[in-house]
Amino acid sequence: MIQRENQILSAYIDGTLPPESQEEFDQIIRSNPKLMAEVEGKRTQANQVKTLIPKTNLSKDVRENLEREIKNTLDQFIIEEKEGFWQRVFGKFSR
Amino acid sequence: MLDQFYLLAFALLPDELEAEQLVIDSISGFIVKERKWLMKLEDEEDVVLRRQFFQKIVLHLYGLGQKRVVHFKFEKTRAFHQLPVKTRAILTLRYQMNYSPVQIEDLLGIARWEVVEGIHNGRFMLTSEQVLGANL
Repeated sequence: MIQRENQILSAYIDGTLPPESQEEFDQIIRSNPKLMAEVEGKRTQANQVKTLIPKTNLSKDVRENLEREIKNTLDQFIIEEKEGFWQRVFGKFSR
Repeated sequence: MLDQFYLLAFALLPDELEAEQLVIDSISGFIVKERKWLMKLEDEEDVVLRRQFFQKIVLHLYGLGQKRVVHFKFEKTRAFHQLPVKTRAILTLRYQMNYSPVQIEDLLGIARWEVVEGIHNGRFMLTSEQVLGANL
């Protein structure tokens, strides 16, 4: 029973409950301070996960290299020119 | 969009050069493979266009990353990199890019239960430091 409750709590925190169950659980939590404390504990654990995933930033050099390589492929394989098409896809990046 | 591809690639192959090459090969491979589809997309709205692109390239990147990681040797000094590759992809999309489980299901082309399992187990393993011995 406790294991099942834990699973539901985890699913609630992870956002993997169906939307209707998520809302129902919201209401239950609001009326139960003990459960609210447990949710907060799980939420802290979930936030901890974010800090444990290594971050890396796309440097200017790497970005320029990626754009150059992609442009080369586009030039090589997309023969027909479509005005502004690639800018629409990649934002500021255009052919 | 490139930032997100790179972030995901780095989660799969934690080496800057390998991650960069994975992004290049994924996008290039996608362009070559989907050329006909690409040429038909002109009338789509920008948001729809970007979403379609993102989804298809992530799928391509994930598939290619899974193949490369088998031959990729690296020191698993961080708990995150001891997790299975699928779990790393799921956690990155969920916790670094804020995609919902339903979106992750579509992006990686996997079943809902796999996403749910990946989130729950990955979170548990990371926070409990029980990742030693995980298979890649």
